[in-house]
Parts: sequence; C-alpha cells; structure tokens
Amino acid sequence: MSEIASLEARKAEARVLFARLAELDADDPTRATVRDTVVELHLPLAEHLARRFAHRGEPHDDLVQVANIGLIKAVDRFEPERGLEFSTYATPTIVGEIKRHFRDKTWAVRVPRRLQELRLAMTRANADLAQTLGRSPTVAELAVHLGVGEDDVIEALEAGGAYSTVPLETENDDDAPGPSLTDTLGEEDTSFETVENLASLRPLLAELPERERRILLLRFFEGKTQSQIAADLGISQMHVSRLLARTLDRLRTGMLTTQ
Amino acid sequence: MSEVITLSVPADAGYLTVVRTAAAAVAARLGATVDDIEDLRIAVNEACAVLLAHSDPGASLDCRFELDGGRDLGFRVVVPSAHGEVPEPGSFAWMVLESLTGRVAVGTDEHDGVRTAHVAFVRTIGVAEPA
Repeated sequence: MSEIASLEARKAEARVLFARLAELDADDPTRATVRDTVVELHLPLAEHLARRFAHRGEPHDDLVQVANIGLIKAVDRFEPERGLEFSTYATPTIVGEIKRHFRDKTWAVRVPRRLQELRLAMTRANADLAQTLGRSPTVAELAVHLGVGEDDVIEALEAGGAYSTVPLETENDDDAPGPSLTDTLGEEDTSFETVENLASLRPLLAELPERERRILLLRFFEGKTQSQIAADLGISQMHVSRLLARTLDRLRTGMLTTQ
Repeated sequence: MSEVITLSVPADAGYLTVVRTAAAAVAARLGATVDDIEDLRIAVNEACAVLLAHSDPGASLDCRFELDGGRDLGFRVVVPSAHGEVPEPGSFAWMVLESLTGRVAVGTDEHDGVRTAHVAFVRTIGVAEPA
C-alpha cells in the first residue's frame, strides 16, 4: 500500500472508531478497548512528531512518551462533530505537549551546552552500563566510561534534576488528572490501599497524573529502584528521577496548603 | 574512623541545590551508584524541604554528613524553628525518607531558649563486595 493510501485508510478507520465511541455510553466497558485502538492506530503519528524534536538534548524515548501522552489527551478531547480529521486535530495537541515538556524543563540557572551534551551522553551510558553490569553503575564507572572526571558526572546529574528555584506550575496546568494510562502500563496499583490510610494524601494522589502516581507508588511503596522503574516504563532513569522529585514537591506544597 | 562534612546554607529553597550537590559528591567518594545518588538527592531535598516550611525567618539550615568508614552515609539537618514541627512517623514525608534511606530519625531540641527541629537518616551506599 502506498503511504498516501495507508494514511487515507487510517483516517477512515479513525472516523469509524470515533463514531463507535460516540455511540457508547460513558461507562460502557468496551469504550476502553475502542479508545486503545484509536491510540494505537496513531502511535506512528506521535513518534513522527517526537522525531521532529530530536537533537535538542532530550532522549528520544522520553519524547515519544511525552508525545503519546499528548496523543491520549487528543483522543479524549476530540469532538468529531466539528468535522475535523482526528490527525489534523491531534497534531497541535501532541506538539504542544512536547513543547510544554521542554518549557517545564527550563532551568532556573541556564545549563551550559557542554553540560547538556554530557547529560545526554550520560543518559545513554547509564542505560548501557546498567545493562552490562546488571545494576546501577557507580559514579566512578560512569566517569571512566565517558572519559570525564567524577565531578563532571555529579554536575551533570544535578543539571538533569527537576529541581528548580522557580515555583511549581499553577494548578490549571495541562498536567491535571490526565487520561488513565493504566491500560497501557498493565498491572494494578496494588499498593494503593496502603497509601490510602494516609487521609490527607488521598485527594492529592487522586489529582496526580496516572504515570506520576504509579512511579511514586512503585518507588516508595513497592520498593522498586529508579532503574527498575525506568526499565518497566521504558523511559530513562533521569526522567524517573525528575518526575519523582516534581511529584514530591507537588505533594508537599499541596499538603502544606491544605493544613 | 569517621569523617564529617558540615555545610550551612540560608533556609531558602534556592540553596538546596548546594546541599544536593554536596550529598552527591560525598556519596561518590563511597562508590555510590546512580541509583544511590538519585535517591540520596531526593531524600536530602525532602528532609530539608520539610524543615524549611516551618523554619524561623532568616534561619540557616545546618547540614552534616557523616561517613562511618564503611558504606553508610549519615545525613542530619537542623534548623531553628519556633514551631518545631517535624514529620511524624507514618506520615508521607516519613515514609518517603524511610523508603529512600532505610533509617530515619526526627525530633526537636531546645538550647538557650532557641527551639530547633531536625531530620536525620542513614543510607547504605555503593555495591556490596562480592562474597
């Protein structure tokens, strides 16, 4: 099939699927399946858009992950009766999500290019070494592998963090309770009940995006390491670290204001 | 034989980067893995941040790292705090610290009429020697 023909076929299939979604009741169990199919159908679109932002210092896998979140948001917000093709509607939503990802990571102190490059190299080296060693590599091992000093490794780790001196994003941000990613990630949140005992935390946890909540539970209540979580979710360890730090900040701020 | 590193920074979130970076550098001396360092930085950040919220105006965070000569890294942060509020055992901040480090202690003290609050933890760092 030619590329254009396959694009047309995808558009046609999307129209059929959205028509089905419109017919189904909000609580119909088949909704999730149809929704997943629409998402899967457009994963190549998300990947394609993510590739446009290559070579800007972010790992490809992280960008694809962010693009997929944008895609899921687009699926949930799309209103077929407005007469737009879904792909036309989804493209700016996905690109917006990727741009927001870059914007959220604007550091309080501008990180020099040398450090950004080192951080990128380190993300790769970290994954490679973890694979070879079967455990998280030490700072010394990373330094030797990259041919830099241990100080540089430490500096690059800090630069990769989500820590910033600027206040957290405001609440009406797009980060608000996103669509459920549970289906794509598999497995139930088995530890959620333990956490639910902490009454003040419950509403805050409920407000977290699915992925952030899941990472939090895996790390703090199931005792998984950051590298294990990164491997499970198919994102880089630095990304896990960043999300964890950001989520903790958010919970801490939330708990202080509700006191 | 133990070694001690002390560090004092203004009780302002903007200075936590100094404490985190120091924590990473100290841990690297013990052969820390990236997992260790990322956990440690989050733990140090959390310990300081919970105290910051109730610190007295113009106060300093007094941080102390302690190496016991083995693979244990101890961290303790103290701040003057009239409220003297610290995370209670079983609270979320406590659980976070405990799961990141293993051993947590919190408390308040009073010296010469100044109330202080502290958070301390110990984390085992690095890769075990093959048996």
